[in-house]
This record gives sequence, C-alpha cells and structure tokens, in this order.
Amino acid sequence: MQSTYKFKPQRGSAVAEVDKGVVLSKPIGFASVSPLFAVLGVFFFGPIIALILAIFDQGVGAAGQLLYDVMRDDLFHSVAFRTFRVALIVTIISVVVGYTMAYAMWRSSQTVRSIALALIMFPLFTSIVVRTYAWTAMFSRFGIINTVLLKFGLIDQPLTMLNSEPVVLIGMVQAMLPFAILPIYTTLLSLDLDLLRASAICGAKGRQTFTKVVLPLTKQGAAVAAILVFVISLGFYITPAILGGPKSAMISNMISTEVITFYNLKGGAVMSVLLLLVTLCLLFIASKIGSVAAHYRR
Amino acid sequence: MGDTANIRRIRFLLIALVALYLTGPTLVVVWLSFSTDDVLRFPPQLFSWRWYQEFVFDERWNEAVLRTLFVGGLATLFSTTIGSIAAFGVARTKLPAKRLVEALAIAPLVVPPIILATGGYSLFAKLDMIGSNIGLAVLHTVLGVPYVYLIVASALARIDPSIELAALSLGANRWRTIRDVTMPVNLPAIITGGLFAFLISFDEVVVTVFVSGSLAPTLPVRIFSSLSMAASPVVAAVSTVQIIIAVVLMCMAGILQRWQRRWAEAAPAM
Amino acid sequence: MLEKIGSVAGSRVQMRGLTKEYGIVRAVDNVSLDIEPGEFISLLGPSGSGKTTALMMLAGFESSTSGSIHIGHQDVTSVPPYARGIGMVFQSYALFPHMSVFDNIAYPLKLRRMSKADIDIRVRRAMETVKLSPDKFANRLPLQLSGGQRQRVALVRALVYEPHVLLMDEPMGALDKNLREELKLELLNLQERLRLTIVYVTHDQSEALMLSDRAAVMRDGRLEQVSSPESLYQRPQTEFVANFLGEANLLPVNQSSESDFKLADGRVLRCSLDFAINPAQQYLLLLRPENVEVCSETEAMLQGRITKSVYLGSFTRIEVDTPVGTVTAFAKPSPSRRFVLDQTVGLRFPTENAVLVPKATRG
Repeated sequence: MQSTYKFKPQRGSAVAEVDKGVVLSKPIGFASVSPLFAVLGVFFFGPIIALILAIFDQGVGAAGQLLYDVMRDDLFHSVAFRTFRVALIVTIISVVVGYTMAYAMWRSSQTVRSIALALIMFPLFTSIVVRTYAWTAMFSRFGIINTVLLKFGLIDQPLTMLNSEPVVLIGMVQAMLPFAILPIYTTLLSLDLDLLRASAICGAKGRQTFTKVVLPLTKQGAAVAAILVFVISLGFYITPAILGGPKSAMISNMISTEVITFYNLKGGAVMSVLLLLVTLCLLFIASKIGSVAAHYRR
Repeated sequence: MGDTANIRRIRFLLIALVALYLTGPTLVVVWLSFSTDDVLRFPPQLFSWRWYQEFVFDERWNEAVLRTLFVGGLATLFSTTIGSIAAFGVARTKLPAKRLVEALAIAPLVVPPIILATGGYSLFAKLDMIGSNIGLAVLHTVLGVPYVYLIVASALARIDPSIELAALSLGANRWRTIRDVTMPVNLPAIITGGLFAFLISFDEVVVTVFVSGSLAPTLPVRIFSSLSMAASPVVAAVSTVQIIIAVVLMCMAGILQRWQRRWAEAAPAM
Repeated sequence: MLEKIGSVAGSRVQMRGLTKEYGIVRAVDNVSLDIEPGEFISLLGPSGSGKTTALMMLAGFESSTSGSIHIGHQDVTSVPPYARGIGMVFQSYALFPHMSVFDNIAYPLKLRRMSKADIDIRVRRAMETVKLSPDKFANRLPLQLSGGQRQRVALVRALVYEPHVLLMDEPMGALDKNLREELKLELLNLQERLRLTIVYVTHDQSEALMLSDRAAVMRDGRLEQVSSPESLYQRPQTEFVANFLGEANLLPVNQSSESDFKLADGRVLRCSLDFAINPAQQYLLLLRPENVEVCSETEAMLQGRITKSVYLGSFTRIEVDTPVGTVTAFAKPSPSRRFVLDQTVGLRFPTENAVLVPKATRG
C-alpha cells in the first residue's frame, strides 16, 4: 500500500519546520509576494513617484521655487497650523477618553465588554461619509440640537453650528475613538488580573494600583495608539470638508482645492510630499518607541 | 474586584455615553430615512418608504450603486488574492527580509489618502487612465491589501503547525498539504479579509473623486457631493442602506473570526 | 481491518550517529539506536533532553546535521516525511478542524487513491476498533469531541493506512489521569495485536515503564541508557538514570577488595557486579526507598533520627539522618507503629545483589 514518491534527496532541505508547519522554497516565496510588489510598485509607489516627478520636471531650481512659493503662502501656513492643532486636540481627547473607556470596559463584566466592543466596531464598519452626514443632521439649523434647544426655550433663533472647528473636532473624535480604544483595550486584556490582586494584597489602594501597576504597563500601548490617531488625523478630508467648511479646511482639503479647483497640480504635489514626509517621520518615531519598548519588556 | 456599587454605576454610565456618542447619530439617520417630510427636520413625520422608492427608481443613484459594486467587487477580488498569497508566502516559505515585506504590505494603511489621490491623479493623467473603472479598482486594491494581509497573516500564525505536520506524515506532499489543510483552515480569515477590502472600497471617497474624471460617481462620492448642497432625505435612505450592508458584513466577519479562532483553538488539546 | 494488520509486522528502525545542531547547541548528540521490528520503545527524558527533536528527525520534520536513519532496509535520512511510510500521533492530536471525523481518518486513504467503497469500509472498521461508533461520530467535527475521543481519532488516523512504524509525541500529555490510564491499557492491547514498531516520546517515567519493551533515557541530547524497564529501574547505569526513574538513595562507597565495598561508616557490602570496576571512578550504592526497611535497633544496619515524615496512604515517606548520609525510606505504618519527627529508628536493607552506580562527574 505504500505509494512511491519522487523526491530529490538533499540533506538540510526540510519540507517543514516543527514550529511553523510547511515550508516552501525561496523562489516560491519570491513568486508569492511578487503580485503584491507589482501592484504596490505601480499603484502605490507609482503615484508617489509621479508627485515627485511633477515637482521636479522642470529642474531642481523650479522645484525649489515651488517649495518656496508654498512655504511663503499665508493660507498654507494657517491651514498647516490648523491641521496640526486639530490633529493634536483630536489625539489628546481620543487617547484620554479612549483610555478611560478601555479601562472601564476592562473592569466590567463579560457581557458589558462584548456589547461595548460591538458598539465600538460599529463606526469602524459604517461609512465615514454616512457618519459625517449624521453629524450634519445633529448640528444643522433644523437639526436635533437646535430643535431641542428651541423647544426648551433656551434659544430664540436656531444657532449656526456647522462650519466650525468644534463640530469638526466632534466628528473627528468619533471617527478616531475606536482607533484609540481598541489597541489600549487589547493591551489591558493582556495584563494578568493576578497582578492587580497581588498589588491589592501588598496593600495598594485602588488609585495606587492604577498609577503604579496598570498605567506603567499600558502606557506604551497608549503611546502607539496616540501616534496612530495623530497620523490618521493629519490626513482627514471628509469630516472637515462637510462639517468644517472652507474656514476649517485641513491640509488634505487644501491640496484637493489646489488640484481640482485651481488646477495647481504642482502646488498640491509639494504639499502632498510634505505631508508624506511628516507622516513618515512620525511613523519612524513610533517604530522606535515600539522597538525600545519591546527591548524593555524583554 | 471589590468595586463599590457607585463606581460600577459610573463606569457603566461612561461606557453607555461613549457608546451612544459612537453610534447614536448614525442611528438617527435611520430614523430620518422613514420621514414623510420634504426636508430634513426634527422630529420627522413618520412613516413612509418614499425616500427609498426615490433611491431605487432614480437612475443616477442606480448608476452609482452599479459602479460601486463593480469597482468594489474587482478591488475585493484583487486585494484578497494578492494579500492572501503574500501572507502565505511570508508565513510558509524561506523568503528573506520578511519584515520588509510586511512593512510594505501595511504601508498604504498609514499614508494619508490624499497622497494616493493626487499621486494617482498625476499618474493616471500620464497613463491616460482617468475615468478607468479598473484603474480605480486597482487603487482601491492598494488600500484594501493591508487589511487582507494582516487578517490572513494573523490567522496563519495562530493555526497549530502540527496539523500541517500531520498531513505530511499521513502522506501528503507540501502542495497537497497547503491545498487540503492550510488553505481550507484559513479560508474564514481570507473571506474576512475580503469583506474588509470590500468595505474599504465601498467607503472610499478621496481617491475616487480624483481619478473618476467624467464617470458617474460611486455611492459614497454621491452622498458626499450631495451633502455639500442641501441634503434631501433621500441621502438618509441611501445611508441607511449602506449602514445595513455594513452591519451585515460586520456580523459575517464576526462569525467568520469566531469560527477561525475556534479552529485554531481546537487543535491544541484543551 | 486492524486485526489484519497483525500480520504486517513493524519495520526495523535504525539511527546511526544521529546529530542535530542548532547553531552551537547540540539538541541531539550522536545518537545510535537499533529498534527491533515490533518493538515498543520510549524516548524518555526531561524537557530539553532532545527526545522530541530525535522523534521529529525520525518523522522527517527536522533534517539531521549528521548521521543516518534507516526504516526497514531503506535509508530515509533525506526522504521527506510524506514518503517515509510512518504514522504519527501528535501531542495536540493535530486533527484537521475543518474535516469530520470520517474525513480525518479517510484522508490518508484518499491520498493513497483508494476507492470510495474501500475507504468507507476501512474507516468504519477502524473507528470500531477504538470504540468510536461510526454512526454516532463519523460526521462530527473534532471540535465536538472530548479529549479522549480526539486522541482515539488521532490514533486511528495514524494507523488506518497500515504504516510499519508509529511515532507518538507525548500523546497522553493533555489528558487527565483516569483517561490516561484507560488509554494506556488500550494502547497496550492494540500493540499486542498489531506488533507495530512504536517510538513513544514522553517525560513521564511511569508511562514509559508501563508501556515499553525498552526505554531510552535521554539527557542533553545524548542517550544515557537503553534497556528494559526493569533493568532501567533496578540496574541503572548512571546516577542520572537512577534519579530520573523513581526515588533513589545513593550512598558513597569505596572498594575494599575484589567484590567488597565499604560504606562511609565502615560497613562492608558484597556486590555482584556485571561491569568492570574502574579504580579511578567513585561509586554510589543504589538503595530504592521501598527496599529500606525500618527495624528494631538490634537488627539495624544503620541508625538515625527522622528528619522528615510524610504520610502517603499506603506508606509513610521518611527521611532519616544516618552516619552515611540522609536515607529515604517508604515505611509501612501500622496502628502500633508511627513515624514522628526526631524519633530514632533502625534501618536495614538487603546487601546481596547491591547495585553500584558510577558517581557523575558533571552536573
């Protein structure tokens, strides 16, 4: 009943690794990632290279002039500054609220945990456009908030709330909260509950256990969440466009206006590349925090 | 642990408030979509299907739906195939520099979409691909691949390697083992990855606006552009449909994930 | 069908100078072992002793750095696992979670291109031999089985295609004690009928003693001793083996004449030796605690004070501080006889056939 197999006797060419399972050869490995590389090469790096080429297609001097023009532009200054400010505020609120929420969930029963988790996942799945539309329904002249305020006689005239930065913040924090809660919650889940019991037995009060045990063990997760939230916030487009209007535009909106409305592809390209560089720097810092923390844990 | 009733109450209140903030406004949209009013107002006059009828019988909305499904379907197909194969390659071959491959596969996740939008626009302008559905689908593929990769890679890492060793010991060669064991055991994760990829495309606005040219907008782009003008309640109906689709996909993903996890846990005894 | 295998005897398995190096670590170090056809052999050792690595090399999942493996007449050193014609039971059972019990067991038969009808008959018969009713279990998924049932499916799946060699990697590790006992007996019954060659890896000495024809004790990648369970326990050849299997008192002795040895207190023992004494080597007298008897002072060979006493049901484990060192004994308590701390007791032990073990120079 033994079948005969053809094989090349080769010492050291194991077909499997005990702790990994099947192992295929290097050429197959290259073949398996080549479609990914092809698509990313042409349609991910391609666009980035196209931007850089658009900037440099009339020589380095012209590129320098483009950069100079953008950097001297007052509108660019104010938009860039606003982008950083908004992203920073969104990050702070999201991480503080997200940490509190994650901690509260962690200390709750399994039922509360799973319901809360499902409700947190909900906005991740629903469209950002739809969620932003929902906020306009809340804040518009005839929206819920104005209706309620008028009904209780708190105001005589409907307030104009849309097209302002606070509403943008509310919308963006809603979008970013899951990105803050989930990594922090995961870090908390990986903590051993016996640690808390041990700390309590050692005589620590609730607050001491939190500041001396829980916080130090989870601050790296919170830091990674913060950088993630900040990076994604920098690139927001839809929420400021709908809730903020022109006065609350962020850098993505400005790039879009430059390219689509003013046909200024080169200016948009310069701003895009600057945004990309800032993003990459932040991610580099994040990876350093991550790896340093990994060493620390070991 | 020994929390007082008060602390527990505060905790519950906090969770409820955050959950309300995250989901409440979106659910209000569902409520609005059944309004009989001509304009958005509160509380809406209930109950009618008129905005759904308007959505279903409006040619321009139909066009948007068809284009969204076409582009989304293609993007899902592409990113699921490419992402899964790459995840398999990293997990199951002697490929060098796996870290680098991983970093590249995840990169589109963290790069602001406007960069892919402006860059894609200038690239497509050169390649004369503005307005190409396939071109748009490939850009959406770039955005969906990281999700597929991450989900499939983590499933591959969780599966007990000894089931593959078992197949080898029973007489299956490596390709048979991958076909009969590794692939089917990871199928739930591959499908989950595909669901995510579809949702990403289904939700994408920025890149789509830039490279669509004169083509009909996709569903999210249509919602987006009708918001800049006075939004008719038909948007609420469209949004509700989108919410329902998203929730259904989310539940499917949840079920598949649980399935996958149970399989992974089934292998190590107890 | 499994009854039929009875005629298909197991194959001989030979390892020659088998070595596995990971960088500078030698996980398996120059292991040579001949396993007879139909023999049940255990690879026994603490974790990190190389027993699992050796098994994985037998299965073909690890390549060897040097040395060779023969199964039957074939050199399989560089043959991939799927062509070695072995069966293997994994610690985690490694059932395919997406296949029913039937499909799990049928899988190796499908690979061998058997007809559907044959597969059906074989799988059903195989399930019956391990008391899994085909009607009840065939369509269940592994998730819906208990630990013991999974173990049985894993065993049948490894046997259904009639391999000549069965490898088992701590197959009882994940089961609770009662189930383990039951399955051990079943495995013994099965082996009595099949006479396969079985290589069984375990760190549990009682499992190895109960199941195997021979056991190979491994330590730091090397074979420490290969012999029958009785002689492993009664006549260990190294201090490590003496300590690893059961409890042992090891008392230093000096050779006083050809076959006489002196304990530290001057008492002379006569030993029958089956090996040549190396005068440069120090030797230890092996006394199993169950062979040390508590007795009156007049009969006593040693006297001492009880420093520890633990009641264990059928006996009391006592440690006695004697002039030759601390001696552990399993003493039988009785209503008139209790063992309390600081009590002075006499001990005696048989002196004929005393076993000497060379004192280890390392570790």
